Amino acid sequence: MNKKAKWGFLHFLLFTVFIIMAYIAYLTFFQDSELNEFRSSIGENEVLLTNLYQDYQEDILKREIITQYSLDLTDKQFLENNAVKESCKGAWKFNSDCDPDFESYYAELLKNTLNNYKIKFNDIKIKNNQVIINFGNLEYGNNTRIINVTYKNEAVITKKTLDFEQLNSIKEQLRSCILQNKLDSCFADKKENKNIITFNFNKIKRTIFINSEVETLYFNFKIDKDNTGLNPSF
Amino acid sequence: MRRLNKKAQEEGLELILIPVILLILLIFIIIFETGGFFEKDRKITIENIKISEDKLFLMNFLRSSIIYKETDIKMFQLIAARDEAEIEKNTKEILDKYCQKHQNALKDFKDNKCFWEFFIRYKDKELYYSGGSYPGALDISTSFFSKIKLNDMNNEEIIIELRRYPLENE
Repeated sequence: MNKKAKWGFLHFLLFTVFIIMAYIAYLTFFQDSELNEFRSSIGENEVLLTNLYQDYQEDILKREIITQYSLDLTDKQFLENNAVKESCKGAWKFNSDCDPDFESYYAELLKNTLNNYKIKFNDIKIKNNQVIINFGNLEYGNNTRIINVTYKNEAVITKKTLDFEQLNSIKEQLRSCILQNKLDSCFADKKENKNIITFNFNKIKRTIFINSEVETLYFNFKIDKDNTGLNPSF
Repeated sequence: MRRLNKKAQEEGLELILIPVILLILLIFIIIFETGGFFEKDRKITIENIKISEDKLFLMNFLRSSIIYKETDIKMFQLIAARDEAEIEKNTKEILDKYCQKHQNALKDFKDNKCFWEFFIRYKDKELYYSGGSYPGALDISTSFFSKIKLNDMNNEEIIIELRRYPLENE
């Protein structure tokens, strides 16, 4: 029985060695074999993958560049219009089209600017004083005789923006002043011209770079004290 | 007697077979590992890998922060602004650093490892800068060449190209 086991083992060992040798011979001598081609193309595949990743990085860079231009243009429009639609001519009025809704107005301006650059995006979110632009999934592929490679990754760009919480707090403070009939004593830095009061906030500012000009823009707004859109209590 | 012969035969076979198998295995392992015999058919081709580093560099170049008119802006903003004097100054500063083995060697270019040429093409104009060590006759075939396109604020295309000629000892 022991002898049989020994013989069995020897046969097994011989068989295994021949299998290994046959496999090595197959890899070595048959250059056209799929396995051998794959092995010899490892370097090319690595370059292929690197190039796809670089294509993705280049597209991200292009989106970053366009996003930067768009944010500068949006900041300019937003602050020059005093955070309300252009038709309001910089004057706020509660419960009307000139009642500022900061986040949605900013997002709308940004969407229009991005559309001018003909770049596709899925959505724009404003959260924690950051604007988050989701450009969706970017997918790149390349085929060789040996492999098909696909690289897919999400393109999301996040940039710091105005402090919208602070703007909302100013709006609520203004509402409170009007309702308590204390508009004249509301906020420190203001100018009055007939019934129009202009409020200035020099601490809320954005420095932008458009073409070759550096410009610092400040947050201001106007209100017609006789037409605020609210009924003050007497 | 017959039984003894059979045993001798089996043990003899074992004695021969095992070393033969091990020898065959050893020969194949040596051939496979050294590989010199088959080398010409086994080379792994890596083409264009030299471009990768420079293309990543170009991306970082565009993203670099610079001080312009007392404001922190990105290089791509300066290029889009087409302020040629500032573009030249900042491009040379960044590129000369890139072509140094050690950043400390910037002043006298002692440790230069390449010669570089940089092109910025607008719609109707081309800016050209060069720097680093002059390698003598320029050999295009050994140069590293990378290109990136971007758009300016008015959506007009700008092309930037880097051609780098490594020195022999790079």
